[in-house]
Amino acid sequence: MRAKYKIIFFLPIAILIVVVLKFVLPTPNLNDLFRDYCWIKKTHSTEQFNVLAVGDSRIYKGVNPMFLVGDDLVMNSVNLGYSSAGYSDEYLSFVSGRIKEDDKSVVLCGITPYSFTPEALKNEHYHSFFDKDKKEVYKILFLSSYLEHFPRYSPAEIWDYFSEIPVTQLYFQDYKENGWVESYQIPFDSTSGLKAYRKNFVDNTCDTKAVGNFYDWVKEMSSNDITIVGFRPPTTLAMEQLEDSLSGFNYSSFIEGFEQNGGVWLKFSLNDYSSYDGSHLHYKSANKFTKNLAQEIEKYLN
Amino acid sequence: MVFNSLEFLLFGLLFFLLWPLFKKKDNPRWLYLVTASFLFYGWWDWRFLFLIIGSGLIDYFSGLWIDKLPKYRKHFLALSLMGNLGSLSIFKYSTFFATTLDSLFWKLGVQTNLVANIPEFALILPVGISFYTFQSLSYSIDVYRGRLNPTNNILHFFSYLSMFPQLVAGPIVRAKDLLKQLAIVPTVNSIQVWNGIKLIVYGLFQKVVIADNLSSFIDAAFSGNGHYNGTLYWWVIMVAFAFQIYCDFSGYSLIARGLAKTMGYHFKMNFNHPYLSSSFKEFWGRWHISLSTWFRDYVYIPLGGGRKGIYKGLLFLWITMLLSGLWHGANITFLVWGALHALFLTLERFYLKITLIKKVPKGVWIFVTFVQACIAWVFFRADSMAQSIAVLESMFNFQSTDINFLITYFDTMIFLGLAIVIEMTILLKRNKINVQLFYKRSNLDLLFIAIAIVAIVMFRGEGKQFIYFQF
Repeated sequence: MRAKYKIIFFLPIAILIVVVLKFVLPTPNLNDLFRDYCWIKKTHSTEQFNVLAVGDSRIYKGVNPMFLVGDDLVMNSVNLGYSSAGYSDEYLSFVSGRIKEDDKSVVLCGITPYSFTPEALKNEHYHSFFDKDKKEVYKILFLSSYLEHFPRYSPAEIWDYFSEIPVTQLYFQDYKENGWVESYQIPFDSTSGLKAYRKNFVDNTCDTKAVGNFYDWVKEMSSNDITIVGFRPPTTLAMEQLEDSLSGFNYSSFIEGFEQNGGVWLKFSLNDYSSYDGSHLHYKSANKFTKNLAQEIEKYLN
Repeated sequence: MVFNSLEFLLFGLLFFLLWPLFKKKDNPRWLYLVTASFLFYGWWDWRFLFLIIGSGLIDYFSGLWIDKLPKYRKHFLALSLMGNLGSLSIFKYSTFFATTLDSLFWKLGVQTNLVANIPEFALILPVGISFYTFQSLSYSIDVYRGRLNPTNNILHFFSYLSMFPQLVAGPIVRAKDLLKQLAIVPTVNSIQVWNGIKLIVYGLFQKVVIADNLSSFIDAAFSGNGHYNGTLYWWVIMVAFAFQIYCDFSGYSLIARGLAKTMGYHFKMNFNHPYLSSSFKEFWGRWHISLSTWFRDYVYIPLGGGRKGIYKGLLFLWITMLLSGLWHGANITFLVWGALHALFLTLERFYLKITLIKKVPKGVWIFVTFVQACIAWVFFRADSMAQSIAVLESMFNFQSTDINFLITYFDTMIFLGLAIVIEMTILLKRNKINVQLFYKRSNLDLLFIAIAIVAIVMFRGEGKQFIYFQF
């Protein structure tokens, strides 16, 4: 075949194969282009909200903003959680900028012992999106809707789809535009996260100065009629014991200071929810937890 | 702007759309090339342009003056060397030199803090600085040696220096090869365009499908988040890294060559399946060929090469390899990497002469050379000497052969396996004329290109910057 015909045909042949494969292959569990879009939108949008869930991955996987505000209320909600997020001044100022101040607003702060450690206070995950080049941000925000039709495929997922013997531990993550990440893992292993968390606290324990700064922020927000609600995101008993013993973080004294500065503390039972890895809630539990949370904060929104 | 980005796709389409309008006359062609290349380079940070323009102006005028004022040619060559090596020292090596001097002074009891006094601008490493300074240097050195007539046209010179396909990560194209090509109206036929497209697609496949899919496995291990340890694990990591860096860099070179070919220019091959080498001497004839020949022609041979006896020859070899290590990065680990290569090359000069060793099958030597390369890569990839030693200990303590990571990183293993299979196929296909003829006659290249594009679209890894940009 002559070169000029090859130049004409190579792209149509490739497109044809892609179209056929899109029908034959299973849809990938994670669309990385849409994932990037969600993170960039979360970080760079200037939209303000009445109800904001903030904190680390236990929050962005554990609180579904869809259930936070009742249908009868003309209010909006968002999840501003990031992996390993810490309550640094910078993160708190980012949150403050997203609160709808001329209306009733509630900020739901997931308080984990890790969120006051020096490592968490670096907010590396948040920064990985915040520090992105403007051109990159523009590209992701405005072109993702076209590009998301071309997700990345994983050979392991394809193998599992066609084979009787699965080779992968399925980690399902479905990103939502409101900041929530619906997630679960197969097989279910409520101890798998413990090892990593044990490592997290080596030379990295609670920074009391950061707690003090957080109190100042709570006080400032409360004085502006913004309700700051704090809670410990439900995990497992083993995880709570591990964190309490290694983190240097004392919940009872923290709650005392938090309430003294105007915060509202909520307590949730561990027994009502299930975590797939010992740290993050299964998406069904996340929905249940959010509904319970919504009931508790309803009075502050009316 | 990186080749595997949407911006470059748009840039490339626009460039090739307008190229036929400009390519027929010299000045418009050069101006178009320079403008496009500056846009390509300035996309990272427009301030970097000052450096390339400054460095280029020094060499352009040095070249002219060396030719016109032969009495002062040495001075002008010195000016060019100082300009290029000076900027390289400031932007690439100042921290390294300052840290080394600080630690030396501290050991002598003098408390210094040179690192803290480095100006802020010098802490930024402009993309591709090592590539274009070497390219620029080759121009003035060749003019000085009388091997090249300098160009009188500044646009002609800058179109050579800044030509976007090879500007930031090579191949390091010699002025005597490219200036001549740039001086005439480029012509391309459909075979050249098809060959250019093939190079671009294969390059993207190497980068996006192989290298990018291996990166997270390697990055996790070196950042301590791999959750695995043990001999087998670290050997697989290093084999994966060997293919990551090869496919990353070779992929860039292929794309660069493909783009140039589509424009009507020819860049020499930069990688020729280095892991199929049966000796380290052969490896350096196949790995980053444009750099190894640069060091050979501008460092090793001018020092004396092999002409001054075996021991001096070895000394020059060590100097060249250490400089090559330092070229890659301002860190002691890169020096050790260069030293290890020098050691392997030195040993080879002796043991390959032993008759019994000559009888060992070539396949065994290919394996041995690859293993040696993997050991040396440890120093190239590790962040510090301490990490390099820890990795080597894990590779050689034979304490754990946990294979669970093979399942955890199933996807990575598939892409690593694919990379190995491709290289093995090349090995088996090599020297088999019948197979090559069958490949050519059956138009399999059309099918392979289509499949490669499908893989690029559907099985691409997480987009990563090319590793060699940092050099």
